[in-house]
Amino acid sequence: MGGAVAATAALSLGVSGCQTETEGGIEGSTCVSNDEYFAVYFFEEMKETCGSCHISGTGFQLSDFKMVPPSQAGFLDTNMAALKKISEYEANGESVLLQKPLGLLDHGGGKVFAQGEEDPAYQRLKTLVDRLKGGETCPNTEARFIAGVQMSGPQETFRKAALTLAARLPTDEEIAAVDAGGWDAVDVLLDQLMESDAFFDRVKEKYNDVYLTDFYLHDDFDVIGDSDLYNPRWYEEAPVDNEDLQKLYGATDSEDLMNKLARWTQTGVARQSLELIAYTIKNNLPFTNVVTADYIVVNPFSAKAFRMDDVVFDNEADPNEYKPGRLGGYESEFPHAGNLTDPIWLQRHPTTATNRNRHRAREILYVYMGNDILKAAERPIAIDEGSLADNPTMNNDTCTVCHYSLDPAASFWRNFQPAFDNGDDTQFAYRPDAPWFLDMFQSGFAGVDMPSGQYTKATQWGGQQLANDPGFAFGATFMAYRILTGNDPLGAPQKTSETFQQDLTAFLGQYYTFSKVSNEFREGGYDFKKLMKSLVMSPYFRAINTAENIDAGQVEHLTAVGSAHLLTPEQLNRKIESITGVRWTPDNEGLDTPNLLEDDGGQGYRILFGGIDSRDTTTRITVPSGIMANVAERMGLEVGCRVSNAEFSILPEQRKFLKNSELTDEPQDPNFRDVPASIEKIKLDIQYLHRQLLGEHLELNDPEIERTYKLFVDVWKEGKLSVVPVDTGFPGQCVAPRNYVTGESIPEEMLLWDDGLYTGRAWAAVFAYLMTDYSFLYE
Amino acid sequence: MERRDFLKLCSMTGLTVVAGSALSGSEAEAAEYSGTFFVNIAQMGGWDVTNICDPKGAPSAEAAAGNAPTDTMNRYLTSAIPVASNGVSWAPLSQSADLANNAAAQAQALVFETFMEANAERMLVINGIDYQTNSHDVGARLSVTGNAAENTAAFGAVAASALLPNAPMGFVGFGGYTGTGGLTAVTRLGNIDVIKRLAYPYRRDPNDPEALYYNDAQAEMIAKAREARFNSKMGQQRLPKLRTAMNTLYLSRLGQNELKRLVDYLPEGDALLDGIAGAVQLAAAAYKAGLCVAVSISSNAGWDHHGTVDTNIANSLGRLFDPDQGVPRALQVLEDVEIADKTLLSLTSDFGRTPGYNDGNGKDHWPITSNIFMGAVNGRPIKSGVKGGTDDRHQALGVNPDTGVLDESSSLTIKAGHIQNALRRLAGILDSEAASKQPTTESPAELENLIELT
Repeated sequence: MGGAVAATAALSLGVSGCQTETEGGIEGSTCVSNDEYFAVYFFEEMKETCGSCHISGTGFQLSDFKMVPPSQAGFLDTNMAALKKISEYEANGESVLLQKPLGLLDHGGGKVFAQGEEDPAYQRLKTLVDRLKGGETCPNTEARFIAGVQMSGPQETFRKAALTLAARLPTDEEIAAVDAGGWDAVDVLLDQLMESDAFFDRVKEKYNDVYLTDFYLHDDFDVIGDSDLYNPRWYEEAPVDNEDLQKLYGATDSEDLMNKLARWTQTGVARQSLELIAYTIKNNLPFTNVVTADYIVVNPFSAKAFRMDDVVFDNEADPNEYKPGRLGGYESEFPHAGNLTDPIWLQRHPTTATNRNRHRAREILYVYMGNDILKAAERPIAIDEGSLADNPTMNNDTCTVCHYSLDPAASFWRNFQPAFDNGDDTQFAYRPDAPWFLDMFQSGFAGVDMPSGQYTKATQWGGQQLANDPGFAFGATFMAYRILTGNDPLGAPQKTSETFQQDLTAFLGQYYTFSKVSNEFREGGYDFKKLMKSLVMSPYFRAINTAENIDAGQVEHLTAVGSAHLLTPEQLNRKIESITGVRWTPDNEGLDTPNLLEDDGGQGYRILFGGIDSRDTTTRITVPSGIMANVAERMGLEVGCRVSNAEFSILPEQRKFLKNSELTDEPQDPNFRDVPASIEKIKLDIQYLHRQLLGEHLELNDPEIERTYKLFVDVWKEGKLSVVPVDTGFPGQCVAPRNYVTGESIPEEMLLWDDGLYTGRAWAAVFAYLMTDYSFLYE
Repeated sequence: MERRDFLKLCSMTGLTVVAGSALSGSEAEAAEYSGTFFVNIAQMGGWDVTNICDPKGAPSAEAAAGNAPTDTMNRYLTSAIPVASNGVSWAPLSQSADLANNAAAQAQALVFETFMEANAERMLVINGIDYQTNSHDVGARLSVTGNAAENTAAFGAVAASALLPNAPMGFVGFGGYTGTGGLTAVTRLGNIDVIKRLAYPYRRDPNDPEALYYNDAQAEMIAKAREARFNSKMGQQRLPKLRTAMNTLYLSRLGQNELKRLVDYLPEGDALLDGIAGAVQLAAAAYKAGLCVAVSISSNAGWDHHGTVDTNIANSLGRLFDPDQGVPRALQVLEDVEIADKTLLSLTSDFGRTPGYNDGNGKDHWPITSNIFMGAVNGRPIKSGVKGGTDDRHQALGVNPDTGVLDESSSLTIKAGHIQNALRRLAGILDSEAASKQPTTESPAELENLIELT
């Protein structure tokens, strides 16, 4: 199972030339790329010195040399391109970039380098300009940043991917295929994983973490108002007493049918944006479709809510079938632009008379461009009222750092800006001739003005700009990384940090990987599944350890490598159900809403385990607290008990885990002497449990097998001596009412109540122990 | 390893080195915390303090009623501003010209004013705090960390880490900025029945001590096996990210058994209040159980009033000071459970709002703001009154470098870092390992007596 260990060049970054074997402080490396040279120089010098005017500030709008802040995805590429361009301008036969910071050529910022040409920082700038002029001779390699890292092999990678993407274990067939085909087989099988419902559930959950449109799964989804375009409670007029209709929708009676129609409509409406993302991926459309689609997607029920009678479904009774539809019909003028014009998203993120769609722009830039506007304003500001007198969002440096890029994008929704007078406050009404504000940076994107001819369909123009911008690929990569690992991309390193050098190495390693993946994504036609596969194959998913003899200092540079995150409530619930076959619900029949998904009035564990409700609790907790540890503890005990009972309730050949042991297999005889035959069966089953639940392929004499076996014996012995005399049975809530593999009911007289030897509960303890392990709770 | 040694190790190393430790579940009995209980209520969005506790007013009725945009600071008269004997003043918002024909908003404003009339004498108001930001993200973070950098720890996390390391719920969060910087975990609380189930995970029925999945001896066996496996796995793992993740799970389990103490202090299910008061009820129960040092609560009242600020802030203040769910009821809760004299309550926000009214009759982002404190530290009430201040255009004024009292000869203005240093000093954690890992941006030598005790 063990994977390869990457070459062992030690890491620490520097900026010297490209001549020696220890170049730029990178021991064992033969050269430093121009990208990396620039990046180090940017963080160590330019960000503070040049950045105060050329990232924001007075010089920014006036200068041709414009850089973007580190909060913008791809900023190193963008800024190096800007620097390269400006370095090519010459005056008096020399690059202006080498003259202006010396205070020459009327540099607005005066003399930047106190010691003039002798200043070491200036010398580094000179080297950088020379390198840019000379072209690239040392391209970046991912290997430089993962030196000494142990990567997972094909089987281990696929198992982890199967659990992460499809919330299930690899099948025997898949294991055999990977054995035979190695990475090529993994590549094919990953595509299959990304056809599963669990994968799309995960994608939708992660996008909802930003969108929060699941709010309307529980709240009044008719909030966007009855109108010519929207009739949310259409089903209240439906002939629910009609038995044929009840049969069509699988309802038991009229009330059940009404509830189903309501729920399916509400889900279809609330999840349009999320379903458009899923639809785009499922149908292998370019991912840019999510901001350019000339439609929304609807299920048969939300189609009725949106008064769409021209959408044809394969199965009118399938709430999970989503098809494109246009508001107002296919002849309407509504300027659909994918999720930019989803009515429910517009409602969830309403504009106001003064916000002027900035909030919407901020969110779209974050989720689709990887541009976290609010992080752009990281510098302490000194503000005075005088500087606010003349429209500060356009003229005050402390405001323009955000508004310069935010306000033009806000105008994408100029046709969705209510006037907020005379009753005009509908958030998703299309106003083709709505005026825009003159006291804002004007309509446009990334320095390009919106043509006036596009004003009536500004969202469509905006969506196309997003799709065409290189940042779109970064934004998708960031979201894909979040989906896959649960982690956020690293923030830019802070020069003032004690760990700046390590942070810088970690950041650049991840940045270059993401940059490469993003470029491939863009050049490959925005195939989201390929993007996911690229990330699966990256060290940010596959790293599992380091070489044993790795230098401790080198390890400090590997803080971003690998993936490890506490499963979300939704992920853990899927994993429990998929692997064990048991639904962890308040009832032992598994009919109620699972405990990890329930937040109804706080009765479940969804919120306490760090989840969100998309309403009041909108931020996930990713570091476990004592309460969260006890949620996992209770899960292990309750599920473990149910699985143990369910297993012994059915024949060994039907079982998922305990294929060798029976309840009668006690490890010791009445005199507590070992029973070898039973011990062997118990250990074989423990070995299999380690493999299935934790992904560990262990020999029978492995210390971990021994440890688990000892736990089994200790718990069994204590139970036999102290518990059985007063309690000989499984806890009632553990007794399986049906065969948990076939679903067949178990006759009352066949229910497994008895555990007189205490082996059933000892096995339950083993399940609890393994299911509360790091390897089960984390991925 | 003794628990105290272990915890010291954890404190020194954050969440990175615990391999090789020997601490079983039953040994993990933490000391009960009985020091000061820190409650912060965050007004997310940036509150307009000139309509709250740093009132400016308007010179005349005409100015108060002037059309927006206008330089007029507020829409009530300066002459109408009430001042308590300790110098604390507040906005007579109900008299705002904007609210003249809005009885509902007036009523909400009066809720606030009634609270101030009753409590101003025991408040410390710090005005003229320069957050040096107009970014929501930065301001919300800075207001409780004293440091604008990302991933910094909120005061509650620093205090919990220093005073009650690795307790299961040292820092409880109901919103606001709750970053922990890796020092500790933030805990949510909710339905009381659910908390009981989690306090006693080994009980099949949390109300029946006899109905167990496993007895104590068996639970101990599971805990020991778990710990032995953890040590083995940590010894094999070298990647920082994976080691950190394994550690965080391990540390989260150290106080599992201590959660039981919480149950004795929880209110009855139907006695749990809504809103801020309910959050304080739960956190206070955790404090009473010796498990909690600090709680962060968002007032969820919406404070980003770029438009029609007077009406909107009246409604926000009405929610914040709602007698049934807001701050007044929360204070009553603290009295009821007899910890009011051990609780320090603070009200903060992202930043302030611009002087005058914009053309939407609202106010935009402005880095100068105020904090409000009430309560006591270690049984000693804070000295009420006003520190810091602003000029008539809401610019921060210089203060005495020791006390924070206005001082024309000083150019030092109060920053968020000063406030955090003061809180850390009061909590006795200024020199703690946790505080040193999470430095503020200001010198602790400045404004040493910014928050004083009686």
